[in-house]
Amino acid sequence: MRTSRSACGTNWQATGDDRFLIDAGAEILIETARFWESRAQREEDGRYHIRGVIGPDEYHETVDDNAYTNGLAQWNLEVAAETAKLVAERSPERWQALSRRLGIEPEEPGRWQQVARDFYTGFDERTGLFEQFRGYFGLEEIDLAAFPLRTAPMDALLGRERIQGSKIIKQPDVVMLIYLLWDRLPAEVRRANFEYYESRCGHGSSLSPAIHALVAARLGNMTLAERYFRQAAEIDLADNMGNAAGGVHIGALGALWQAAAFGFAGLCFSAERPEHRANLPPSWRSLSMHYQWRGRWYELTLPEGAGHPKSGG
Amino acid sequence: MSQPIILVPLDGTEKALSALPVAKVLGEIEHAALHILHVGEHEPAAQALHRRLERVAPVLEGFTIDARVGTPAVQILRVAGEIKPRVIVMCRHSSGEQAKMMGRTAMRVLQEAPCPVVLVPPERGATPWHLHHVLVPHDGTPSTSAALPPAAELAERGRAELLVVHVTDIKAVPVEAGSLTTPRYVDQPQHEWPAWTREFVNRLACICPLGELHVRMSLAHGNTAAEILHLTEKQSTDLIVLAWKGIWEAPRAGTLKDILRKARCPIMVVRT
Repeated sequence: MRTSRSACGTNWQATGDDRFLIDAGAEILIETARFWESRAQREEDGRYHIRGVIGPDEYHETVDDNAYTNGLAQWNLEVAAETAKLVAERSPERWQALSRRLGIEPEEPGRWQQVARDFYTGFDERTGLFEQFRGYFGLEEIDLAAFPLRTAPMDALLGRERIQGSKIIKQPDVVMLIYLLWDRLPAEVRRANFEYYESRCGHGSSLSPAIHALVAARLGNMTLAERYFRQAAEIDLADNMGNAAGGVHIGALGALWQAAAFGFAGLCFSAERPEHRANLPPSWRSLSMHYQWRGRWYELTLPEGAGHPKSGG
Repeated sequence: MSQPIILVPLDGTEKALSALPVAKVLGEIEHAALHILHVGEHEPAAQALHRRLERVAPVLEGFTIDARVGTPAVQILRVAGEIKPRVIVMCRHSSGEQAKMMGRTAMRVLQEAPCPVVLVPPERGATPWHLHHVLVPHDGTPSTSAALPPAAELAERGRAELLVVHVTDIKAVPVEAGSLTTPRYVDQPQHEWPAWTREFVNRLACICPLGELHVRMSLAHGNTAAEILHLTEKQSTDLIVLAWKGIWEAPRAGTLKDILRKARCPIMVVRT
């Protein structure tokens, strides 16, 4: 569920493919919004809550109001409402056909917006922190710095039960939320949450270090970003886990590319064009890459030169 | 090929006789002859020694009795050099102290014996012994694998199950080249842990063909010795087989010492 909503939105933004949005994407966003509306429960506090989920952090199962889940559910509901309006404006006939086929009631998009507004996010205005899930802040504090030379994940070292009762997390959860909803969050909130959760992440997943590299780079902490980037690269390049026979870690490699592209190169996309906000580590002489945006190939070389379309592209 | 020999040192105490039931079964499994060596300050009368042995081990067959005078450890090691036993089976200590780890004689024999040594808790007394479950702790290092061939051979001949135990201990970070540690990252535990244990056992099979042996692997976490002892009780282990590099002084041999002190089953120590 968390893959479909973000992938759909990102695909349309990167390709500008209205056909995809009208013929397929809108339906995905609408049906997933409907799911979240049905899954969330309005409770006595007037807020919508989602109970009994597992967020990206698999060390804590069956939790309530996971910040990542609620945050993306809220986003999904908002984007679904916007998309409904967009499709209705750009292609009224297709919208009518879609509405008939999916049985969309006229008041539904408005209801999604209202549910989104009243969604519980776990954000504490006083601390600027998202609570990863209800009760997280009351869990045992375990100092990961006491296990610097570990060669096994923390749940293998301390046991499942103790890990579940602690603040140690397997991989980015709130940090992942920050990455995906970057522009919706103030800079100080992004920084505060990264600093809080980064020190509590055990990196039990191979997907974890690269995302930390990405976010650290965007926040300008280049020492940390480079360290995590190297850690992520070594997963397959260094063969220091004794499991090369199991194959490469494709997901981690993809995250590593994202760290380079969206972290160090700072690639991002406005409605009109791609942009970059480079944050290269001091030890890097340059970074170059190709990428495709809305049907055109771009060549980006940093620090010299800005991104420009390839000739003939 | 001459018949293998199992050397069983005794010192005339009741506690030392606890080695006999274990030696008997190992002798049957290995088709080995028992060479019982009595070492004391004075040479005992052969008849008296025979009567004592028959009283406590009436079904012992084909054993040789050898009586020597002198320092026990010296005599035991001398005889071991002469007869080249497959294994030495002896009581861990024959004092009255329950929590004692090892007597002086057993300590010296362990350190200098030319073959594996099986140390038997004296509390076992004359309780019959059987070999159904063999436990081999393995930390993933190549040197620990030295315990595997004798353990596998015994288990196969005795039709026993072999349980390999790997403990992830935050205090133990293997530094040997070629060590197989638990994976640093586990993305899909339901797939990766079984795959890792298969890889682990497959690597062991390269060192020591496992044939038709029933091998299980168990993963535990925490203090290595505590987890091994816990599993030993839980799995009704009959014999623990441990590899040892021969260094006794701290900080080495901590796990061996703890297990020797607390295990209620015999322990075979294999020098690497």
